[in-house]
This record gives sequence, C-alpha cells and structure tokens, in this order.
Amino acid sequence: MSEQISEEIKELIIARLDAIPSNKKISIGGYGDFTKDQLIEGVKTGSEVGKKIIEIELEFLRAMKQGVINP
Amino acid sequence: MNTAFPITLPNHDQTTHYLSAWGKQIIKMANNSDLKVLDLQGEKANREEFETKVKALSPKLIMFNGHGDNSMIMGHKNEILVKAGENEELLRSKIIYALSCRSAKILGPESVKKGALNYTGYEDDFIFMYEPNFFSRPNLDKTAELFLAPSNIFMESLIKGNNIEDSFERSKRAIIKNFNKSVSTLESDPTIARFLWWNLRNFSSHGNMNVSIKD
Repeated sequence: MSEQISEEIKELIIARLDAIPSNKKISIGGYGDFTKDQLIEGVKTGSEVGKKIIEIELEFLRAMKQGVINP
Repeated sequence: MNTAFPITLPNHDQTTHYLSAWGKQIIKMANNSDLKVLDLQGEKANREEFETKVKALSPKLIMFNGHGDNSMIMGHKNEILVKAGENEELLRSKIIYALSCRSAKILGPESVKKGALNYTGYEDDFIFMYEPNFFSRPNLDKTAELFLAPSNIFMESLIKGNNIEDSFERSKRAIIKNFNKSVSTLESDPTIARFLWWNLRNFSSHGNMNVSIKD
C-alpha cells in the first residue's frame, strides 16, 4: 500500500482498533497473532502489520461508504 | 476415484494450532461419509510425505491448512509443499481447498492452467479472531467459530457431494450471516465485522465450478 495516510486517518483507525475487546487476539496470516495494543503500536510505528491493518480498515470503510456493505 | 484424500494440518504456532483443531472437524465429517482421510498432521505435513502420498493415492480432493503466500502453500514449520513454477502439476485433475493466506492469487490460477479441476482459497491474508482463554480448547472458542465454521462448511458441502459452486455459495452465505450477526445483536462484537468482510472479499475460486468429488 503506497498511499499517504494522514494523522487524522491514523487516529480514526487507532480508535477503531481500540474498540476490539482486550480478551481477543487477531491472527493475520504470516504476520502472526496480535493483541489490539500490538496492532495500535504497529499503526503508530508504521510496521508491516500496521500497514496491513490500515489497508484492511480503509478498504472496509470505503466499502461501507460505497454501500457494498449494508450492516 | 480414490476415496482417500489428504488434509495437511501443520501445528507449529498459534494460527496453525487453531486451523489444525478446526481441521480435525473435517476429518470427523469425512469419516462419517464414504471418504477416508489421509491426515498429514504436525510433522507429517512435510513436502516429501505430501508428494509421496499424492502421487500414490491420486486423490480427487486435497485440503491444505497452514500458512501461504501468493504462489505457495506451506506445511509444518512453513516448509513449502506446493509452489507455482515448481510442483503445481501435482494438483492436476484435483479439487483443492486451501485455508491459507494468499495462495489463490497466483498458485490458484497457475495450478488450474496446469490441469487442476478447481482451486478455492483466499487471494489475500485469511484473518481470524480468537480468545486466548480457549487456546487449549479451540473448538469451543465462539469467536474463532465465526471465522472457521464458514470455512468448514465449504468442505462439508464438498464431502456431501455438492459441486464447487454450491459449496462456495454456502460458505459465503455463512460468512455473511456471521457478519450480519456481528453488527446487529446486542451480545455480539461488531469489531469482528471488518475481518469477516475481508475474508469474504478475498475468498476466491478458480477453475471448473460445476465439478464435485462424486463426478
């Protein structure tokens, strides 16, 4: 993912990740298994898994906006 | 048709521990049918064992569990089992389901070009959430169930003799059902939804959609 991410978007993604219950972990394929705090740290530091989670969040939000998802 | 089919169940980290536990449910399903399972569990999920068994048995169906990448499927301790450009011809005349990251991106279409009947898997990372409190009992983990049960529905449907298209749609409907449940009931966890959506978006099937293991 090459697009530039603004600080506002990062803050939004961090807030969304912070809503994940602390008693759960997320397996993201070859990246490994993460708590929400580890994912938040990844977004802040720009690690590979941080970039991946930003990609997932942005695509999900775009799909919602475009009406692809109707929760 | 040979009625035995291999399932790879590597088990060397947290992700493969969960996939292995849920994969064993498929073995039970198959054992209750007229199929037999060749269980390549743990260290048996290695390339030599896999290639030998596939060549000897010539199964109609293969299920992979474990890590993967765009052009490969891995086994125990991430040993490469099948790689596009190396040995994907092993998949010729077979139906393949890979519960694995990304392999449907390149290995899927490449194996179909080399004669695989169908290759179903995920074009990007397969993601699931789980509750570490259930690590010793993954099959009782209701959070993991939301992700892994829809995957098992694909295999269950194939084992019952349904074709790929029907099995694929059943599995997708199960993901959508869990997605809707995650965002619409008070006791649910809406943070799950984005990952279910991600898996649905990347669930992909290449090749003949009308084929079944009973053909």
